[in-house]
Amino acid sequence: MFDANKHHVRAILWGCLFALVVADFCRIVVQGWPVDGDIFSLLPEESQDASVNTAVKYYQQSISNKILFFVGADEPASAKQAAELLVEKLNGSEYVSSVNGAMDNASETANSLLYKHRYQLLSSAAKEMLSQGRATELKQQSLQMLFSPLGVTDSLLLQYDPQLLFVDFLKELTESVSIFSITDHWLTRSHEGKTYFFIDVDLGDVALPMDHQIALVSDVRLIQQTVLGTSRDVSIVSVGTVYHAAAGVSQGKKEVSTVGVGSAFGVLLLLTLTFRSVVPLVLSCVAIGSGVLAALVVCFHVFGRIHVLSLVFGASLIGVTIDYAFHFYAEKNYDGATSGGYNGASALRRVLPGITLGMLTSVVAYLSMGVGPFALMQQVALFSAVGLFASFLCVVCLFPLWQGATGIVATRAKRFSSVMLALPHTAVMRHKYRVLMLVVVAMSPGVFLLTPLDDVRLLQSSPESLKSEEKRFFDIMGVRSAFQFYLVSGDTVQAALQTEEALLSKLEQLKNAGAVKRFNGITQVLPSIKTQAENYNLRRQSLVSDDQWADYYQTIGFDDDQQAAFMDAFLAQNNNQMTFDAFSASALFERTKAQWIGLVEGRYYSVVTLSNVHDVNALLDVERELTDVVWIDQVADFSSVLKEYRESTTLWVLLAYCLIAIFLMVRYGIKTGAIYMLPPMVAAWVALGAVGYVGSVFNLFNVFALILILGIGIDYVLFFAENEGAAAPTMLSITLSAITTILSFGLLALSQTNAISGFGFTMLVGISCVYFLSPMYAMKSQGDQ
Amino acid sequence: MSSRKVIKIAGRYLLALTMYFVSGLVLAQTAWDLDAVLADSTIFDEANQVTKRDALEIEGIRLSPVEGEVLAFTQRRKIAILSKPLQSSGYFLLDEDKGACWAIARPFPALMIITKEAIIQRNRDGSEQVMSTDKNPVVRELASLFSSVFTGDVSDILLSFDVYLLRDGMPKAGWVVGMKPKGKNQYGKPKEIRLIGDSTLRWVTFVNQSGDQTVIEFSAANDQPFDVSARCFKG
Repeated sequence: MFDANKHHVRAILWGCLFALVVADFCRIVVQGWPVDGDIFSLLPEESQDASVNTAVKYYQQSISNKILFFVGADEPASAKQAAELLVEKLNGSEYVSSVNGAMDNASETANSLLYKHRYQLLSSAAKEMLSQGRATELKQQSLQMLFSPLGVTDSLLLQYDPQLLFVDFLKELTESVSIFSITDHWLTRSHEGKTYFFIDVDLGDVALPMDHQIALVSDVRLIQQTVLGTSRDVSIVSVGTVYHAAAGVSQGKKEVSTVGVGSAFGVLLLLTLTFRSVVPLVLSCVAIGSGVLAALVVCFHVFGRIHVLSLVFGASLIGVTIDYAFHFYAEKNYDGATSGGYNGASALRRVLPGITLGMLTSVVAYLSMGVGPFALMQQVALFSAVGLFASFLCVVCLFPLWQGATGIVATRAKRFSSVMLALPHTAVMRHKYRVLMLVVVAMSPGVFLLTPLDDVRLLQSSPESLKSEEKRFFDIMGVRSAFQFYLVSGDTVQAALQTEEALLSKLEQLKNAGAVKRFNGITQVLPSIKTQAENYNLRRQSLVSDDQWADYYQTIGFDDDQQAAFMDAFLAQNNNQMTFDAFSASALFERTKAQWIGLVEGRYYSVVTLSNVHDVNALLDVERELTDVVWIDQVADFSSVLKEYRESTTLWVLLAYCLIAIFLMVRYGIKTGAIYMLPPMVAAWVALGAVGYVGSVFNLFNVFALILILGIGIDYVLFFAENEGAAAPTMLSITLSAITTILSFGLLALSQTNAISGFGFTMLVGISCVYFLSPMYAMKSQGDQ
Repeated sequence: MSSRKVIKIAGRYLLALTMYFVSGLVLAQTAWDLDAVLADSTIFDEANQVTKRDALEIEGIRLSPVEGEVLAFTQRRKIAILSKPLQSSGYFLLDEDKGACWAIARPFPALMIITKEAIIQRNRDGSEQVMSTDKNPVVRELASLFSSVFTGDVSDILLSFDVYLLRDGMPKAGWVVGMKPKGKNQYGKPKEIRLIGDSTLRWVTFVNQSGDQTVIEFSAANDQPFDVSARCFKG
């Protein structure tokens, strides 16, 4: 009676907890699923400096919320017409925050701000000539600009800038800043005989819920198709991070449902075929459901949002969380009819030590995958650990409550168990160690064939069509933006600008040496106040002391009055530097704001972006030479984190195998302990060998699989070792668990994402292997006699 | 007055009148009044607008100078605020593959080669400045404009400019092709361009936003003080 009450209390407590989880889950769903598919969100926090990390995140955000288009055709006029139509349609889309196609008067207003400060602005060539006293060369350059058939001159410009140094500055600026032509107010590029019009779309908030991202992309693609439908000649190429995120999310969704539905279907089928009763079916669904819901809710609370790849991993949990239910019902129903059957409470009492130990070892194994800077594995680890624990709780609290019948184990299942149990006693098992040796030797070449590849892109499964469209886009663009960039900081705006100038002057040398093709920083347009003052002084010095200019004025016919008027204007402009505030309020800032992050946790940050990087080491050297300049290379950093982590995790895995071996030897004696270690060890070896043989890459995720093979494999071994008396129910429950585990991870092996399929495949081979090996080596068999 | 005398005077007048008309016709056949052509804004009348890329071909107009033939050029640039026009002269040579070469001889020697890919400037000391079109959009605009003009590629021009053609009243079966940038004026782009020629291109004129005017005149290069072709493309 007391026992029954205790079960009721437990069940009620569990019910309350479950109701809370369900309520919270509904709240999260109503607010929109905070699920993302952006690979950047998986990157580790790589710098020691928190504000650098925040600044990098701001920067990522600013580049993630854009979609760029090229609309092209043989006939420029039809390309322009299509581009106009595209802009019009995109403006009508609810997902788009702004569309930039044809420019209004932006370039003129921008130039007018620069013109206001023309005496403070010098091209780097002019600055060099002036500072080295090479006024003659400068004079020659100005003369050529005036007399050449291509000279760009203008009375207005000449009057207050007779040396044409402002024109020279603008020339350098356009050369370094823009890669586009301007055709009828549009930015354009010519490629393979076609003219492409450029459109830049701002999406506003990218932290969109999963469904919105997919809807946005399909809306944009639909608009694109509509425009394409209007002319046969026109082609549209576009890129955007959101495409990858949406593709990742759709792909992830598909895989979550394949793995989830496949595993669930397998579990239900097994339950039905084995126990032939509705109750285990219903309660097992509750156990799986409560596990998955609790895992989701806890993850949303801990991480704020969850990555779609974590969900794909998480879906495989269905095949694992069901284990406790299997153990319970195999124990309860094995001899149900013949021996009068256990009631729920006594069945629980029998399996509780085993499943508690199993739950603990699995939770520890999963949690150990989450140690490290690794968002994805942290999410997977927590998701799995919580899921397992919640479903364990459900089995312990809810399952014993049902007093009625829960079916009996089907004869066929029993027969299968007996066949499996008889295996250790077959004749061939006399040579079981030799057989094992043969297997190990056979798999060895595979293991030596393993080729480590630690590339962050293994986590991305973007479709080929998206990748080829991206390649085409950058072919048209003529430059390939690098993932690497410099983050420059300073206590004040001017300090940041000055540091950036020091960086750019070093980069200029590297550009001449061919290490990088282009680089962009805000100081190319807005020099620091200090540099502007230096420019002005250099110019004043030359105007006052170089007698070249009198000769120059005479050659071009710039009379005395005009000279005096110019000098008055020039001298009046002393200290008329362009300030950051004036700049940031101008149209120019709009065009350069990708280079400026601004104030983050007390420091000002700017970004220097690079294109066509040829010599990363040379660029890295620059970082070392300058303070307050950080080189950010997320792909390389993340890949090297993956590598380091793979190496260190491999060592940890070896240590774990050793520790478990020592534990087994202490518990069962050296020989038996060593024998018990064979199944997980050989399974891991076979799994690695199989990975090598099929030629798939070897990385951190395969190593994670080895942890789970050890965790799950040891469970199997211990169950057999400890339950020699009740081998049949143990065999049955382990068979059922193994089938669902193999099913889940087998489905994971079908994933389009390389890292996930590698993990799934390793698990598939390893668990299959350990399932067959455990009874043979953990139970007395022919070979031991 | 006797009737004979009247006839005589009338005959003289008639002759004079005929002479006048004939000489007027002959003059019209031989002489261009450049100032009059440049001052005439009727060229930009809507009726003269050309919209099809092959319109000039149909009219038999050849915008580009003859390829491979060295021409002399004189450039006069009138900048409103300067007391005298900036004048330069030299030789021009068009090569289909190597580009258009301007070998400036006066007031100082300099060389400029325009191709679709770059504008190359060769200085007196032999040093070269290469302004690549894929680096600088302004250079690209200019290079593209000039190479379109000098290779007669009208479709490029039609995209950025409204193009007009005037033939009526021009001497020697001559023509004037006028171009105005589409949309709002842009810095660095001329406000209007006129190409004037008959059997060949004779003048190119640019007028910029502030009214400054550049006139480039092409003529036969009778005596060449240096091997233009060698200096342009082999130097």
